[in-house]
Amino acid sequence: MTHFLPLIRREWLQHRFGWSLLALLPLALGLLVAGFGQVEFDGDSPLPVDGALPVMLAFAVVAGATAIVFIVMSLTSLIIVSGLARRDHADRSIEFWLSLPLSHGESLAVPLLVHLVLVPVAALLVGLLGGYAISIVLVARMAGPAAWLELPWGALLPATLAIVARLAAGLPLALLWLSPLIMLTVLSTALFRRWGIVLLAVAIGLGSTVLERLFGQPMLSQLLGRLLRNAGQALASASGTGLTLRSDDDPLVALQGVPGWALADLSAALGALASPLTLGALVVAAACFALLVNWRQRSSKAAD
Amino acid sequence: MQTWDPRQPIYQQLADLLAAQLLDGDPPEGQAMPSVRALAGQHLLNPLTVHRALQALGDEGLLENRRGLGLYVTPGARERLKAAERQRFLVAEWPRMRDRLRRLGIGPEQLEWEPRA
Amino acid sequence: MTVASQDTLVEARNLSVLYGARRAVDDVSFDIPKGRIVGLLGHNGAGKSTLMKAMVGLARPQGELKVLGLDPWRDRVALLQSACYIPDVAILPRWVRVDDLVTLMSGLHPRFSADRARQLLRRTSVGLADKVKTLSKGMVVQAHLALVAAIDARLMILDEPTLGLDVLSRKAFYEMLIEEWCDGERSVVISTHQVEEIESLLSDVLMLNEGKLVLAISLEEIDRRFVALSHDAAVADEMAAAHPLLRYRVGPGPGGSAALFDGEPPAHLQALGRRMRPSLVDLFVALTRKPELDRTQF
Repeated sequence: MTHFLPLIRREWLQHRFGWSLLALLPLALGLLVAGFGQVEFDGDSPLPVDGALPVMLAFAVVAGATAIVFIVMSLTSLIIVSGLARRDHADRSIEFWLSLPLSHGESLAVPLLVHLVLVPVAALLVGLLGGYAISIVLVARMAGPAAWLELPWGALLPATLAIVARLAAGLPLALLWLSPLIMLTVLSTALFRRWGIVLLAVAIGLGSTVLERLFGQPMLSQLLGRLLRNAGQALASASGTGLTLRSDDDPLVALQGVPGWALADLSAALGALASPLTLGALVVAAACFALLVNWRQRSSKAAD
Repeated sequence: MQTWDPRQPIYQQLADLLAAQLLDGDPPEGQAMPSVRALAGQHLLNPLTVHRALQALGDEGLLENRRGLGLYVTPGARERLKAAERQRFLVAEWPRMRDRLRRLGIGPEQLEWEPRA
Repeated sequence: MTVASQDTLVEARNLSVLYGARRAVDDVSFDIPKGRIVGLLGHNGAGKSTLMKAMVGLARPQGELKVLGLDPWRDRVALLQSACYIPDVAILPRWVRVDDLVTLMSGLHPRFSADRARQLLRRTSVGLADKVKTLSKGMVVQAHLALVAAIDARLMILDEPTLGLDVLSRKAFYEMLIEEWCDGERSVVISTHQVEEIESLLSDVLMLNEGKLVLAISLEEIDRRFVALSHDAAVADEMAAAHPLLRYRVGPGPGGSAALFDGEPPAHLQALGRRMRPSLVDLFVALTRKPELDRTQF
């Protein structure tokens, strides 16, 4: 696909301002709060650097920043993706794109890839770096300017990187579980424009009620529930146990346990793939994609 | 945009126009004619029309095709054009003018041959 | 691919395009050889845009259609690499900067030359740093034309490309079309409402009326086949008796009537009038007129 990079570039050119704003705003706020916000500690003297609080705070800040930017950008992507099919129809530039030697498949697939995969991964990295920046400011306020460098990075670095890696690895899995819903939304906005989402929600609601009456059990809503739960767990807590760090534990030990937890959690998430639901989800998503390609092909023919 | 007389084929009108320019020495004898594309762009005509016009001029011996180089103005083209124009004037235009002068009663002594300074 | 089809860029046989029950293009057959500028004429709704869409694989036709040796519907992407298409000139993405569009097209089109595009854009009033949404309609048209002209294509299909351009810009476009595009190997198919203006540029014409091909002919053949006689009002009745295709006025005053004939008019009529080249507009009106349309309504 020689058009891969130019199509990615198109997304960048179209969305770069929005992306930058949404990714950097939370980080900027975080920096402001860290620098000038109310932080209460016992006593005014600088806390000992090897105390529990600075390192746990640094970790929390990095993890939090990463998570927040990730969530914000992922939500943005979901919104953009839901309107993907019709986005060039308002200014009629769809006719311009159709006059170029681009296949319908790649014109649909590359934006999906960019918004659903590349953007969240980039968000993770931006959040990570931003989190480090905020933690520098915070720790400097708490324990002096050089304190940040003296944090136990041997444990902190792997722990923060493990969080990012867990989310990055969990992303494709979450996408797998969400793919039927996402693709159904794209298809339905393609066919029904703005009413597409409403119609889809109504269809799902009606469908699950009808099926419940017919089969006695809430099949559709159960199915959807499982998909959503699997998606969430693909990102975190697949093993059922959350990441708990108790304040009375030795922070170093707790941090050192994070990578291990992340790995175990990821394997549990991978384990959840061994289910017929996986195949079903992929089949529905693939069918929707095929229908979208077909729709795009037919919609290029308009009345004279 | 230039409008062409509907009474004559366009290629003929272009040929006449180019011939008039040749008479004025544009381009001079022995020099190359502008390319078909250049002429087409200048007059906003289809190159095929320009081609026909140049063909007509070639048929009259005013242009020659130098292989590999294009169309060139034949040496002596100006003289031939002038001779042809002269002939046309004497045969077609002059008799009409002469009749008119007769009707108005103007004799040769009343005609000014030198333009007023 | 035989040698013959290298010289014929478009071949259509019994081509139809249906929208449900409606035949937008109805059983149309024609050839377009290389090195031609073909005018596609028709009223609104005659099927011009649909025919053009079929030629670039955006509408699925019945019958046979080969463009540059390819089936447009099946090989759309391959075809669009050697053919370029302007469906409408007001359709550039509004959020993009002109220079970014040039860069995007270099990546998306194998035969697009960014240098050429920038060179052509410099001749217009469009700035490379301008965002499309800040450009006036005429400037968007100029930008789009410059971009498409930078594609080294064998076939250019233009659907009303000069809509919204002033006279000078139209002239510049026609000049560019002739000087850059007419090398004897490429062909252009152009539909337009400004028939008078473009008539002298065309080498061939395809006239559509309600989906049907009314005339597919070269301009040279039109001169040979159709004859217009301008005459005085006094002989109007005699002219009418010979059943011309169309009777119309070409100018004010008593000598301003004309009659258009398919083939040689009777000799006695030729003596009564003066022989003329029929204009494309008059020919079009003659062949497609509905009783309620007059000459000025084209």
